[in-house]
Amino acid sequence: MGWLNGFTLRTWSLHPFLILLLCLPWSSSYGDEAACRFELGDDSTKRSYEEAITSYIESDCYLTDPDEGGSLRKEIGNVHVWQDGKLNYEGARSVYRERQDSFRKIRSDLGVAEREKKITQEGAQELHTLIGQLTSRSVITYDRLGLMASGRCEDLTIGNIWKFDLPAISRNSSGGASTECLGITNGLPEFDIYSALENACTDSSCKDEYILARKIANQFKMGLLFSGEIASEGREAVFNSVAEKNKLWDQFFYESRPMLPLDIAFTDWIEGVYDRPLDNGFNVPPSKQWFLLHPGIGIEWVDAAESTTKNEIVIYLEAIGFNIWNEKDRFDFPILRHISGVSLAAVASDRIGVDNIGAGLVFTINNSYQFGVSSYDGDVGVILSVNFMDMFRENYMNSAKLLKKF
Amino acid sequence: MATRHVLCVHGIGSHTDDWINSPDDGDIAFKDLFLDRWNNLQTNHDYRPRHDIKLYSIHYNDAIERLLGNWVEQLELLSNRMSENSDFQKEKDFFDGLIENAKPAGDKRSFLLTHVLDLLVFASLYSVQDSIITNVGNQIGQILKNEVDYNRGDQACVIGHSMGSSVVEKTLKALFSESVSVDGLKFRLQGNERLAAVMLVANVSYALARKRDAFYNSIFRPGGDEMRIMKHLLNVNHKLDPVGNFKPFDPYRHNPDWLPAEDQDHYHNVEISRLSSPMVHSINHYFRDPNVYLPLFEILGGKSITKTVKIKLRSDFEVETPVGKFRSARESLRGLDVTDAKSMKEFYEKVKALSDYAQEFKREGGADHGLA
Repeated sequence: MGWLNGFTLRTWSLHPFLILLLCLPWSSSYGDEAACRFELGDDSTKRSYEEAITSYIESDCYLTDPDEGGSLRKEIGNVHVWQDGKLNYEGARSVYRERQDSFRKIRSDLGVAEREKKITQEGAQELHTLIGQLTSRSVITYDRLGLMASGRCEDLTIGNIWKFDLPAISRNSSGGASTECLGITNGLPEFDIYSALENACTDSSCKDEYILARKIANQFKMGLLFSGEIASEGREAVFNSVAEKNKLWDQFFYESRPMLPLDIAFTDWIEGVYDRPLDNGFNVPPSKQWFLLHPGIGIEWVDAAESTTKNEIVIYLEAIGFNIWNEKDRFDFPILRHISGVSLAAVASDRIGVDNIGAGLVFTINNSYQFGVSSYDGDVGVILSVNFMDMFRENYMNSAKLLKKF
Repeated sequence: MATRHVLCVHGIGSHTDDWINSPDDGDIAFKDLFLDRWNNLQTNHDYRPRHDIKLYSIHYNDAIERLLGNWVEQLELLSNRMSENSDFQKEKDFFDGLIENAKPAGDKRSFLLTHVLDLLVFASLYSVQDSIITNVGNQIGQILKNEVDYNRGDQACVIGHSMGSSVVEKTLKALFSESVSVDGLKFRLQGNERLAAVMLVANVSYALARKRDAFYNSIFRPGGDEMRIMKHLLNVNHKLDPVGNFKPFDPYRHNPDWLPAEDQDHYHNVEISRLSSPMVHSINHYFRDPNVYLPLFEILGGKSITKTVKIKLRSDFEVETPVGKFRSARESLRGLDVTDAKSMKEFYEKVKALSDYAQEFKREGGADHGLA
C-alpha cells in the first residue's frame, strides 16, 4: 500500500483536492484495496492469521476498511493538527478522546466474542491487555496535549508513545522532558504489539480474532498517524537545524579564510571549543577564526627602497590575528563591515636600502583579500595579498602582473 | 513490510562514500556479507523475520580528506609563490618537504596519513570533530526524514565501526539533544524518535571521549523507556583486536547503576575471540562471527532465532576458524590408526589444512591487521 506514502496530514491540509479525494466513495482504483484482507476464512490457520495481521497493521488498509475506513478518513480530513505553524490542541486532543471511545467499544465487542466463545479466554486476555495499553496511551497523549495547551508544559514529547514497539512510559524517566510534562500518575511497561496481536489466536480458526485484531489495528494506526503529525513540525525543524549547522561548518572551513592545523587548534583553545559539550545539540562554528604563526605571501611596496626593489614579493607571518568569517557577526558600519579580520605580522623581504625584517598590521577584507601596512625601522611599506584558496590563483596572478607593470 | 534501516558508519582509514559496497576483508563488500548472513538464516534455517532490512553508507572520510587536501593546497600555493623569489629557497624547501609527506605515494595514501593523521585530526581538533559529527548527523537526519516510514512500522538502527563508534556516540548524543522551538514548545528527537538499536564494533567511544569522567552520564544509554534514544545497545569487541581494548567501553565498571534493572537486558556486551582471518580489526571479520550478527538480526527481524539454529551457525563458523581446524586435526589424531591408509590420509589432510591456514595468517597478517 504505497499510494499513501509521502503524503502527511499536513500535505492534505494544504491540498483541498486531497481532502476531496478522501471524501469520495472509496474504490480499489484509489488504492490497493484488493491487497487488504479484511476477512479470514473459517479454516484460517494461526500462521496465515499472523501473516495477515502483520501485513494489515503495517499497511494503510485501515483507511479502506469497509467497516470503519470511511469514518477514519473523514476524521483525518476534518482534523488539522497544525494550522499556520500553530498546534491545534483541541483538534489533536479530540483525536485521542475519540480513540478512548473506540477502544471502549472494541473492549465491549471483545467481551461479547468471549461470552459467545468465539475467542478463547487466553486470546481474549491478550487483547484485553493490548486494549488497556492503547487506551492508557490515548489518555496520556490527551493529557500531555492539555498540559501543553495550558502552558504548564513546555516540552513537546509525544512521538514515541505510539511507536510500533510501544516503549515504556514512566515518571522516573531518563531525562529530556520535565516530569510534569510526562503528566501521568502510573507508568506503562513496554509492550510488544505484534506478539499481543499474534497471541490472540489460540484456537483452530482465527477468523473472529482477526476481526477484533483488525479493529484494534485501525485505532492504533490512527493514534500513530496523529502522534507522528504532532511531532512532524519539530522533526522537520530539527533536521533543518542540523542541515543549517552543517552548512555553517562548510562555510567556516571552506568559504572563509583557509586555516592550517595550528590555526584550528589555536581557535579551539581561544574560543573555548574544547569545553563545549554536546548536551545541547550540535555546536556551531566559533564566530572568530584565530591565526597563529600563519604564513602568507604578498606584494609589498616600500617607497624608501631602491627603485628596482620598491615592489617585491614578501613573506609575512601573521604572529597572531583573527577573522570574523560570518558577515552577520561583524561591525554594522558601512565600510567597517567589510573588514573581517586583523593580524599582527612580521614581514621578511630582501631589499636594498631598507631592513630585511619589518612588522606590520594586516587587515582581511571579506575573508578574501588582505592588505597591510608594514614598517622597516621607520620605512613604511604597503602589502597586498589575497586569500590563497579563493582568489589567489587567478585574481592574484593577474593583480600581481598588473602591479608589477605599474 | 516494515523495514529496518541500517545506517553504517565506517571506521578509520580510506573509505568511499558508498563504502558498504566496496570489497573489504575476504574480498567481499560489507553489505554483501551482511545480506548473505541475513538471507542464509531465511533460506536455510527457516527464519521468518517480521521486517525487511535496508543498508546505507554513512561516511566522513571525504570530509577529513577534503580538509587534508585543503592544507596541502595552501602549502602548495605558498610554495609556488615562493619559487618566484630565489631568496626564499630555504623556506620553499621546508614547505615542499611538508607537501611531499602529505601527498599520496602512488595511488594510495600512506598508513600514517590514512590512519594516524585521521585519528589525530579527529581526536585533537574539536572544530574538525564538531564539523564531522554535524555532517554525519545531517546524513542520519536526512535518512530518518526521507526513508523511515513510522506509519508502516519502520525503525532505524546505527552501526559504528572503530573510530566510527566514537563518531556515532557523539553524533547521536548531539542529534537527539538538538533542541528547536515550535509554537513556543521545546522539541527534541529524544522522546519523539527512537532507534531500534545501536551497535558499536571495536568500540573506541570511551577512549575518544571528550570528558571521560562524565562519559557514562549522558543520554547515550539503551532502554525500554520512551525517553531513551535507543532500545538496544550492542558493544562488540574482539579479544585480539587492540583497538577496542584500549580504554574499553565498560559502563558498569564506572557506574554499577548505569542502567536500572528493567533496562539491563537492552545492553548487550559481546566479546568474541575466534579468528576467521588475519584482519582482526576489519568489520567483515567481526560480522563473520555468528556471536556478532545473531543478536543484531534478532533485533532487526523482530523475532527470536531458535537455540538450535544458533548452535548450528556457531559450530559451522567454528570449523572455519584456526581453533576449529586444530580441533578437527586433534580429533583425527585421536582416531588415527597407523594400519589404516584411509585414516592416515584423513589425518594428513587435516594437518595440511591447518598448516596451510596458519601460513595464510602469517602471509596476510600485514601491518594494518584490517585497519584499512
